[in-house]
Amino acid sequence: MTAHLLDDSFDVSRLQRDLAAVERRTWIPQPGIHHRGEWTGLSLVSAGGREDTAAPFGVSREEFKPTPLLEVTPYLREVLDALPCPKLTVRLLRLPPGGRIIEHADLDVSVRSGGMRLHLPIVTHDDVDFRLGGVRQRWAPGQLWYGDFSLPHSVENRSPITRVHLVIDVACTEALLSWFPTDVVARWREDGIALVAPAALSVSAEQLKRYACRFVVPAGVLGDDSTAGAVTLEGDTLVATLDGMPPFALEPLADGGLAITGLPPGFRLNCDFDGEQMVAATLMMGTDAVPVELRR
Amino acid sequence: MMSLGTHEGVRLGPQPERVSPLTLQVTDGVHRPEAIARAHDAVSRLAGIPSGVFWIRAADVRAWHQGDLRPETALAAYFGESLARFLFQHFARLIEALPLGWGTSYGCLELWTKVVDSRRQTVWPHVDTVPLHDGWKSACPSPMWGSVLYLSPEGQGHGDTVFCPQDPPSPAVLDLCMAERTEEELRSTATDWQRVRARPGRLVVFRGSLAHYVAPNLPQTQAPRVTVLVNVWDQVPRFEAPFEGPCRITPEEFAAFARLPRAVVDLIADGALALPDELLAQVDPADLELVFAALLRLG
Repeated sequence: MTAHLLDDSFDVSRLQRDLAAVERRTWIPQPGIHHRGEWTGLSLVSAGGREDTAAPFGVSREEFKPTPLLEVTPYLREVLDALPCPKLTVRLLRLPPGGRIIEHADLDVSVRSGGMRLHLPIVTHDDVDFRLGGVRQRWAPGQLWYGDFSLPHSVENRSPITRVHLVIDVACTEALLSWFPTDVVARWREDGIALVAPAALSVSAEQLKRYACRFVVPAGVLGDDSTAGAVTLEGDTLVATLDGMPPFALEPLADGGLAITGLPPGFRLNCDFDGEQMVAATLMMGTDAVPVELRR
Repeated sequence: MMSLGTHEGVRLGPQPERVSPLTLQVTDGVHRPEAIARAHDAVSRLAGIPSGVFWIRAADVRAWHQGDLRPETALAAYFGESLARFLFQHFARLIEALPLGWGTSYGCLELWTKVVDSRRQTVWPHVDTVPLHDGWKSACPSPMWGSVLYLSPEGQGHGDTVFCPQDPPSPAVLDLCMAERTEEELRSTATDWQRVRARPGRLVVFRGSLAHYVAPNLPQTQAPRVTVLVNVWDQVPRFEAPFEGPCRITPEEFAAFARLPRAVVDLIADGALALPDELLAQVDPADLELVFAALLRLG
């Protein structure tokens, strides 16, 4: 499925009122090479609740939290509260007249990895050429859409207005899946869906220490070469370091695995123990399982 | 909004970038009906508060919110306690009516009132601006948001407010502004005009650079159209004559202005520099002298 309309009952004037509340903030350019700096955004939910980024989700030491902007956008808060799933990053993204986002695919946003990208257009125009999976999309203000952004997509704003969408990255839950046609969900299940896994209820510092290790991710997974990493306990937080990446937190799950903070639930580390000893670890990236080499 | 004199067209200063297409917002019942009726009586007794003269700083509105009555007292020196209190309550309601983020990011409020009993059928499309030192030839700043609070009782045929929702207005719309027009003339342009009905207690908030005009009172109008107008500015525009407090003229000068007959005020508002003899006879020359001296000082 390329796209699916989830709800078309949102109040456009209230959306636009909330947009007016934050329009004078400093809109931050989106990272990436798919535009020339004209594609900018504001974060409403971000890692640590930071306002100074409009980047999509990524590994982080901090949980996703609302930014102060959500305090002045009460209707957007209502919209988010209506979604039966954890929110990853939530951003207002705007593309000015003449702006262009060249075709690209966001491979880490898919039901297989447990991440879904929802769009709620607030301002758009017939002359915005938005293509997803090779199909011209016409998503109207006030409509909440799911789109499979792991497919190639592009936007070219040939209109005189600034296009603004609320872009909501969420983690998959059964409750959210119930908003989709059953046949679509059945197909997704056949391909594999990563759902939010319950966190471990309470884990003592002694139990956390069991996860401390050094490891190597094989070549061809995170880069051409193999990548060395380590899990350490900092206070009561497990922190992973990997060559070439910022440190990020790991959260123990009820099933013994570790969720990677900042990523959808399909990205996780599965751990096998022999008593108190970790004997094997597998990096899960959606439906791909990559055994990592443990080094003591 | 400075409306002294007539000006062919206006050039707006640099406009802040608009992201939201929100241009107009209408809210009913922002004050209790009794408060509206009392404000109507109080404002009607004034000849009209001129625009561009009263500037209430955001810090004073915030201080009032926290129980500091000094800003209200300063305004009461001009309008009396009751109307000054209502006006501060209104400022608070207006700020609540703005999109949330704006309540903490404005610099000041420009206050004026209008009491219109004219049966004139022409209209005056305009953009709220203040002229800079070289007058209307310069690029004039406009407020972030404008607002109209209608006070007159329902059903008396009072002029509605008509807005052009283009934001910012195109040169073609600006060319229509600052000149006397007929509504037919405006309707014949390609421009879309949106009419907001005048109703007591109704608050219209609009983008500060929208072109708008007051529609003529209907023939059955029995009493003046009374409105309180407040513009929300980023900061107090820089005027040549610095001033302290909420007003660019003194309470004595304002009192002299308030004693003038409405017909005289209307003429002054239209830029008259001399008055016909029959009106002169109705005016205390000392009052007129004070008012003209104040107006000259304001530039």
